[in-house]
Amino acid sequence: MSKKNKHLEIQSVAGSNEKREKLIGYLMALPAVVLLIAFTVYPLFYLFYRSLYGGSIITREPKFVGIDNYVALVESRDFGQVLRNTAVYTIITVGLTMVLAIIIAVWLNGKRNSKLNNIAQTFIFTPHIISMVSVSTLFLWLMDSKNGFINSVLVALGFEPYTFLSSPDTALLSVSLVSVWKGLGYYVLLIMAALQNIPTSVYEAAEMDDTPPLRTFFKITLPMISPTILFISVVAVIASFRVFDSINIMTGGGPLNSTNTLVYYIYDFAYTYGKPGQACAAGIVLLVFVCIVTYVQFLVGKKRVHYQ
Amino acid sequence: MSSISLKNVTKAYGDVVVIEDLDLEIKSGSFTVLVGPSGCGKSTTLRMITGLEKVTKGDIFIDGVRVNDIAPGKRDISMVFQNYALYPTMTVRDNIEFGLINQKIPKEERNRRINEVCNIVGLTEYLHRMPANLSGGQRQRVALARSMVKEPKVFMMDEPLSNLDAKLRAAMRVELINMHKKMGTTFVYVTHDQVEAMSMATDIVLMDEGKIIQQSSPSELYHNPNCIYTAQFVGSPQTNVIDGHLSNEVKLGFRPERVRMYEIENGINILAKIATREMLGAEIIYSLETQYGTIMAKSDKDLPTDTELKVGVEYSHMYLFGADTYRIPFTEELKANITDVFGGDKS
Amino acid sequence: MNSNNQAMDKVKTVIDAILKIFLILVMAFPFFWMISTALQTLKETLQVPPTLWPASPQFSNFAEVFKTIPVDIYLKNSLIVCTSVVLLQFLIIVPCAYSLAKYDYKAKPVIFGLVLLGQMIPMQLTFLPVYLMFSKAGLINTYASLIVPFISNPFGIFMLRQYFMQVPTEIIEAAKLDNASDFKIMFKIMVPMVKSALITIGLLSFISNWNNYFWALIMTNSDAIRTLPIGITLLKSSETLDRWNIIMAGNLLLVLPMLVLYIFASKKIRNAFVYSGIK
Repeated sequence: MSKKNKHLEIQSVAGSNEKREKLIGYLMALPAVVLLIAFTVYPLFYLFYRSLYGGSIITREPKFVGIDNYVALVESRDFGQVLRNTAVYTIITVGLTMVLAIIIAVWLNGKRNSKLNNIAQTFIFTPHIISMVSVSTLFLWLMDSKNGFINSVLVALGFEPYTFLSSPDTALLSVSLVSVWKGLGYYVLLIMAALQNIPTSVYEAAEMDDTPPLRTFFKITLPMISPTILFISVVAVIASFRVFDSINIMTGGGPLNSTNTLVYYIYDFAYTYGKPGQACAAGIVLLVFVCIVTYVQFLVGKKRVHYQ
Repeated sequence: MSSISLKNVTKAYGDVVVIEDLDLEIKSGSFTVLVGPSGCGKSTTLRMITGLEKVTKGDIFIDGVRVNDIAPGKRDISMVFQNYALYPTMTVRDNIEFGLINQKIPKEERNRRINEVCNIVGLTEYLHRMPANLSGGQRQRVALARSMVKEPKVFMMDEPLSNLDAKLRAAMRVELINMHKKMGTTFVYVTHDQVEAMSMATDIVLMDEGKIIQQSSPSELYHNPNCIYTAQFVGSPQTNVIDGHLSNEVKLGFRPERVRMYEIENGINILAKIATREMLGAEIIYSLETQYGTIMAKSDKDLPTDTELKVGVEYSHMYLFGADTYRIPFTEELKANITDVFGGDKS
Repeated sequence: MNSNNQAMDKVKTVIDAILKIFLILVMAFPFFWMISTALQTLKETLQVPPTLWPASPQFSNFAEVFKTIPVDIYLKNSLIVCTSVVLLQFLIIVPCAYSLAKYDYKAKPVIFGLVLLGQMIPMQLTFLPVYLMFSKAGLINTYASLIVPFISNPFGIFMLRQYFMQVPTEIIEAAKLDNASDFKIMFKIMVPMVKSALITIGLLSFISNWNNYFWALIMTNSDAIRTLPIGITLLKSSETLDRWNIIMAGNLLLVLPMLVLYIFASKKIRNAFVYSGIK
């Protein structure tokens, strides 16, 4: 409505067709641009800006503290733990997910038992479309140290019950396993799409060369899907940096801070301790990590990756 | 150097039978070309010999050994694919070396073979390039090199030249013929192009709808086609086939290049009018209107359109085909009948 | 030799099948367990060894969920938020993608860079500033806080732009010669041509917004506006004994819509995710 009016206005004012075209282009992009700036660019600047101030969420005029918040982070043992937890969680989750996803994708892409392949593919992907809330709640129940199904089975078989989420030694691993279970299907799907782009004739040439299956996998299949592997590894790493839902629902950062990860730390500091300044500082740290990883992907992508 | 034998081979995909009860003998040391239109079964036959396609029924023998259950890589044959199927993530050298490593050939021997093959094929400067940085012709040569370096008993090739431009194709044809002459290995080659087949083969196997129509040397195929299909498959323009106007549905066939643009002795002479002409340079292709239909002629005589003339075909250049489209003998009686119908000089 | 090979092959096929069935069980069992628990009595859930399937399915558990938390309100909110995001975003991303695909102006690379940036920056980085911003504007606990940040879907802009770029410019030029206005061209010509992309974007967006827990947690603290994912977590409170059967029943309610969607459109959904991954 108001856009249409502007259209007519421009027609009479601008005169030349090209100018009108340009203006229309700008106008069409305008709403998206405004929203993107409001919810992407501005928050990043604000994040940095707020990290230089103290005070709580409701403080009217927070005090400028410069790099004090960052210093507090560096000196905080908790934050060090948080970084370690995030790193360990990322390595385990991404490592497990990638290895399993590659193996399963190649396995389900084969010619044997193709009907089972289809069924397996459908089931592997299902966890991906439901909420992490559901998955976390479900596994909270499955991994329950007293009545959980897994431990009941273990006890029935004569083993000791596993501590899963109740011990600081095993909680992070347990959360990681849940993420792997949920995310596997997505990565299997993407790898299978990449596998299907490999022409059959390349495999036939390998057959003619009398290539044993493992050698085919490592020397032909893997290099040919390496662009995809690299890309999804980065996606997985960044996703792992962002973990929150499962931790909030399953462990609340504990026990004993063992599952306190970066985003949870930010959330905690902002809402539980009411120190948005420090939370924003931690947010900047997260931003830096995301930028570094994205840049690494870009660099490595140029060098190592094989294209057809 | 090896002979290949297919006995009673049938290939079916589910309920669809594409090849039924095929018998084929490929002589050791020959350059055998399987030729035919799309879907005639030539590629399928090739792939069954290599083992990439499983045989539904029947047996395949290489050098007298039944290979049905032997893996493709262990049959001592190599294959050049239509789209080359190079390993895209390896250098040219690694592509060529790949199969040798699988056979556990020691490094020195590998290097020797690779150098030798690269000299023959002309790839020495490109050894460290990646397939993506090669032209079509270069990739084709890598595919060739990869198959040569294994020193197999048989070379299988599935339309290896069809993705190249015309000039390159002609050059590669010559190279392949020379290769065969030098190496003496059995070549089994699939193409849909009859020119390729005729120029390269020692034996042509003409196929259609999963069956072998005729198997013989190129010269024999040209001069002595066993049926209308064969007669019309080889040669351009197509062999003329007209109704014999005799009682038993006999058809008369003769090649355009055998049509004389003047009256002859010892053959038939037909009244014709030049409808169109196509200048090829040394020769001209005419389409002639006659009372028996349109006939094509190829001649070096230059005559303008609309010329009316008598054209002649010698008896020795005629093919007679029966109602089942197969050749029937050219008896004296038929000769007399033909002359009666078409008019000509029996002297 | 022949029969040996065949026998070996059959053995391999059987082992392969067993392993695949095991994999399917690992992925499917938790779902089964969720359904089973949702239908058990409290006593059955506490039993060791665990009851695989309830003696008599307690469908009353679902009613109990409705009694414990205002599921109808949460459901309503989730539906309002999801449909609003999906529909409103089209108004925003279609013109923007079209502009980036078919128009030429100086700031175009900058705007495209902005879209890429939007794809890169996750909500876990922006939530705090946006919360503070909304807080000052009194927009906490409103539908706006749950809808507006997501209607500029940068992935949607990116994908639509690619699709629009593939539409031949001649069609647009022909329409211009027929005196069609730019907006008419956009809605009557371009949009129908990218229908499949729109469906993909809509599907992905609906699923991700339905499942969104984090953002709703940050932006809402009142039952009136809470969405279903938050609601389900409220079933589990730290004070009373966990009634896992009720919790799982609630969980099932959250999961069911997505499962139904998946059953009806599994191929389409998987293709949508493949596209989003391959870019």
